[in-house]
Amino acid sequence: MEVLTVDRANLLSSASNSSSQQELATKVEQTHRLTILLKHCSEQLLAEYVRHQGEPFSSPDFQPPPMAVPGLPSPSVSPEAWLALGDGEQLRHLAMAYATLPRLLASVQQQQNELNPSASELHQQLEAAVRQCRGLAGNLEGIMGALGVSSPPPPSPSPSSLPTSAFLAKLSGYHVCRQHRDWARRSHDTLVLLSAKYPL
Amino acid sequence: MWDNPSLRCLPAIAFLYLLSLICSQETGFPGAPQNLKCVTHDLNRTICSWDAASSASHGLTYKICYVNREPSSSECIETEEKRVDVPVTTGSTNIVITTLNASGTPLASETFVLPMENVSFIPFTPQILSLSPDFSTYTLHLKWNDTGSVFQYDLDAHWQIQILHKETMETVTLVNYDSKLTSKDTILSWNWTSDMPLECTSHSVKIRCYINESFFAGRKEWSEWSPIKTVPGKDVDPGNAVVFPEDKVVPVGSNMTFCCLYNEEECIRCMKYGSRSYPVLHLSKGRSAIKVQNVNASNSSGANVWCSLLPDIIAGTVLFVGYAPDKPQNLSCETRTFIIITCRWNPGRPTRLSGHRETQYILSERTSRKNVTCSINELNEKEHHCDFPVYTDQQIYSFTLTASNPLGQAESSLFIDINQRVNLETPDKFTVSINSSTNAHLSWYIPGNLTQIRLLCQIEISNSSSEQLNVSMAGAENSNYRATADALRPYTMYTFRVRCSASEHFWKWSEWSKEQKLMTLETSPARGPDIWRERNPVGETLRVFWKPLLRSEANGEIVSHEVSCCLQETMLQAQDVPVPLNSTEINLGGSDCVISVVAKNRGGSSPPSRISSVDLPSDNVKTELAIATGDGIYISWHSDPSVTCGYTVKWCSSGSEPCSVDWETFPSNATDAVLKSAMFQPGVRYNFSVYGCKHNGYQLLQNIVGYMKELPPRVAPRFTVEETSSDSILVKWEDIPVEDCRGFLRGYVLYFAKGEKGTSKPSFMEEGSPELLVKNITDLTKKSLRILDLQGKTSYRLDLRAYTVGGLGPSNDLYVVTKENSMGLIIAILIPVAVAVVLGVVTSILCYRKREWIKETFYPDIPNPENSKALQFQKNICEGNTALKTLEMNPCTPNSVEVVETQSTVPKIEDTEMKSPVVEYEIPEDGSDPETGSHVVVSYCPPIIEEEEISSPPVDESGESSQVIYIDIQSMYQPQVNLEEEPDVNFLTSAGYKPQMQLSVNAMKMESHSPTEDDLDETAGYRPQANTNAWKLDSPDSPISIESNNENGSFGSPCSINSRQFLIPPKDYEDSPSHNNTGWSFTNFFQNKPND
Repeated sequence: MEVLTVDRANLLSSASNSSSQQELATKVEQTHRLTILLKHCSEQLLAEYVRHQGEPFSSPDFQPPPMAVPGLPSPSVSPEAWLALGDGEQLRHLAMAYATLPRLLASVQQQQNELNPSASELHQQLEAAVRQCRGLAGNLEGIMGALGVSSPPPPSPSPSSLPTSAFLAKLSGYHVCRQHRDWARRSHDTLVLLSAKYPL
Repeated sequence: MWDNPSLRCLPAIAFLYLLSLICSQETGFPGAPQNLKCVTHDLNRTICSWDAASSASHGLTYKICYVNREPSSSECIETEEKRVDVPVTTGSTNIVITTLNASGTPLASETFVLPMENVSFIPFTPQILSLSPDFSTYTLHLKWNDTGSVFQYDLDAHWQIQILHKETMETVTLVNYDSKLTSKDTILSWNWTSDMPLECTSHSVKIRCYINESFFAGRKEWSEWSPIKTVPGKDVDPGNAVVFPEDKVVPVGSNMTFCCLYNEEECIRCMKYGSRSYPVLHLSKGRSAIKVQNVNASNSSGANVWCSLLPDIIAGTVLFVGYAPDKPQNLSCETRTFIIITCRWNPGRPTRLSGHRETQYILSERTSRKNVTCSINELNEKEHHCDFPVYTDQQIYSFTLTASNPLGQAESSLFIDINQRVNLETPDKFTVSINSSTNAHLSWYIPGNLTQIRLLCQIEISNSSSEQLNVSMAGAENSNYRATADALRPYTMYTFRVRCSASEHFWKWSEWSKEQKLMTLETSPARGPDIWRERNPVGETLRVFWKPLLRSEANGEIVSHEVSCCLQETMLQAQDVPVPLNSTEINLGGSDCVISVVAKNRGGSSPPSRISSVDLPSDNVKTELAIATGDGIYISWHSDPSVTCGYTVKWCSSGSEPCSVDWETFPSNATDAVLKSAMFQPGVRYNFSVYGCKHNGYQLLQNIVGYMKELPPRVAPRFTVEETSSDSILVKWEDIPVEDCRGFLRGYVLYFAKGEKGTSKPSFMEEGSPELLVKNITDLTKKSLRILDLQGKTSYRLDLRAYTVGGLGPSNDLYVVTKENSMGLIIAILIPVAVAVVLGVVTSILCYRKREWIKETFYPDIPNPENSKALQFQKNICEGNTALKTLEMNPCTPNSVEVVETQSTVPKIEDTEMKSPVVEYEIPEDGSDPETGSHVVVSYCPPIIEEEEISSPPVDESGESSQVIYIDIQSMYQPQVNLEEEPDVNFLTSAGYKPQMQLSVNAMKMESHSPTEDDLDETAGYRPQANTNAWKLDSPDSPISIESNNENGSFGSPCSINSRQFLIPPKDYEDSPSHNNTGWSFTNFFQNKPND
């Protein structure tokens, strides 16, 4: 697990000189590697999650209609539209998502403790996902600082409205895991572009 | 029957009633009251109403007067309504209803007689006070007032409650409910549990009443239904479809109804429980349900029930299916430290529920009134446990363990005395210290406040075997405990471990502590070694032997043995012999001494073992035999009263040289012993010497030889035949070497029987043939044996074996032929000689007497073949050819044919060959001249003399009988042949008949070959025309065989020669070569001539 701490004071507002360029490129590459890991882990997590929820979640053709997860921006923009957003905007969206995802994943884990107390592998993966998301959020913040992109406002601490029924808990957990996976893909796409722009 | 006043009045009332009807009809006033109906609700007042069929009824008033018969009373009421309230009486009531106009003028009057029977009792319509739903339990709580205060006395009330659901008000159920009315108002309540969640659809309830008053004579009827009370189903917002019930926990096997509530614009696609679809029941618009029977236990996260809606909405719920908790099994509580009590139990069947639905255990104690909630992970633990604190001054604990989950609860109880349930912690910090050869100090630590009990600790001390040492000690608080183990063996490796329990009330041993291994220290050997000495026969040295001490006696590792020689307290010499030597030599220097041997280890020296070096002289020492016992040797000796310090039996344990000395000592009163040693081997002879220990030295008393186990001899005795005669054999044998006897020799067995060399050996012994004779020789000094009564000139087989107690040894056998009987031989020679002489004389006489006849028969002066018997043998062979006798002596005209022409060679020969049979009869034979009468042929058919113009050349040379003139060609060669022929053959061939073929064949050959010996040989004898070779070969038809026939044609086949007619076939046949090779008949054989 790779967590990068970013010392914002040392970041330059613009990547003007070469040393800061190099620093940025290193940061981008590290973040890129983290997104590769995250992408892989998020797919595994989703598979592991549905495996424990019973039918219809474990059915391979289970495709419930998208459900808005409170507090989490939806990554439902088409890939073309996403790429058209530009680096700064993409990073801002990612930062917003990863500011929220750890809390959501933690609440999913809380729900699964109740529903599937013996699914230790699922719990481990959820814990790992929380750590990875926090790490990625930190990395994104660092890159945005280096690029001079303004950070989004911190997410309002929305009252954690835990689902009232077990089925809703399963369903919302599913959506969190799925959006986690989608955001991991999207962040990977963004970081691929960025690492091409800022090679080592 | 008529005791009842109402019944007694019945005929009268009926009459009056009929009369009143008639009367009212008689008035004819249209507004007159009719159809009086009376009802009571409270059995107190009767409400009567009637019809007044008047169109102008307004302004009319009614005056009602009713008269009760019993008690007799009368009352009148005026009212504008067409009903009146009269009291209920037991008897009948006369009611007179007068219709008055506005001015009070009576218009009509009617009198009704109202018997009690005509009054209906209809209770008041009940009112539902409340209907409240409990959605979680699908239960409707219904409350209503029984209005019992209406009645003055207790009554039985029956209620009917009808449950309806859906908007269409379908009846779900109709339930009867009984209650007692107690003359005061009571709120009755009743619960009903639906099998469908109450959210699914609306549920309605109505109620009615029936009061069974047995003394009421009139009709009793159900009350009206109460107004309906409804609990509506749950409404949903658009897009927020829900499935009910939510997160319900039910026991396995329940029947469930799930409903899906959705917006009316939405449309249900399917509804599933788990992965299975169920038929959807439509409750109403936007409400659908499924029924699932007998649900199975769900997994941890529950079974999902969901409905799929159009457009693309999913709604669901989770059903948790499991079991109520089992009663906790095998609940047991014990303490380890007197700080907490640990209770353990087996939860029984898993409930299959997890999370907050899993079983909660609460351990409660009655005396202290304390409860402990046990945190247990049901999924991870097989055996559950829970800790309860130990309270000071409380010894008795009464526990109740309650298990509960949403499906139920169960409990188990246990009553314990804490002092009787002590299972101590495993002893820790276990140490053992040893500082002597027999003692060990042990120490260990046991945690816990054990002051109120005594401990019993068990120390296990083991080396090859193990023993347990129990020690009891007072308990202390978190203390070390000590113990000492003594009576240990020196220089021994011991393994120690310890465990403890409460000594007063044993409950359980603690676990064993860790093991400690230690060795005790060495100490001096417990005793001196066993010693023996042997004087060297040469010289004055003495060899001292000792046996190593047992490990248990050595008390350490023996380092050396000190051997000393003392004479009256004066040490003459001493030496220290290191291990592993077990003997040493001492030079006595002419004087005897007492030898002492001391074994030494690091712990010290053993007490000395002493032995005198003096050997007392012994005479007349006998050697006796020991008895083999199979696993030892039993020896015995004669008691000697002068022996004071025991006997010593000494032997060589190796059985042979070099001797490794072994000995054993016995007390003075012993006279026998069974010696056992691992060194003893079966079949080996051991020599034992018994010495007596006397006050002044050792004396050899006796020698004993013996075996541990006797075996059959290893070898057979060597024996020879010394002498044979015609009826006896003298056999001699040699002793078997002692080492081959393998036991004490008991004798020999001699087997003998007739037998030739080459008969199989084992069968000799095993067949037990009747001729087999056995001689057992038990006298071992005898070394020879004469076998008598044998047959002369007969081969005998002898077999000699030695035997011991162990059995017969291997055999050695010999074949002997007895000598011939000489008289018999003489007789056997003389008789044939005499017979031969007599026969010779008789023959001579006969021959002499019949000499004339013999001469005629066998040696006539002129032989007559016709009469010659000697020459008629071929008749038997060639019987078919009767015409041809031996020699058909046709009149011979010798010299009558003269060849005057010379023919070309080859064609001539061919001609001759082919034509000869044809011309056979025309041309007289010339081969045999009658004038050559001296020539006699005896042993075979004479050759056919059928030559035309060819005759054998020797004839020419002999000159004696040759009358044939040879053709020029033949004469060219013939002389050569002749030169090489023997004179006899020459004579024979020239004198006898010539075979037809001889010349032609030769002539043929000669053309192509130079004359060789072989060729010439052929010319000498007769040439049969038959393919003689074919008779020998398997394939007579092959050309090679035909050819070889010519080369190797054999003599003396008279038949072929006689069969003249076939020997030379017609030319036709000759031309076709194929003919030569066909068939396998005699005819063909004769036709097979050389083609070349």
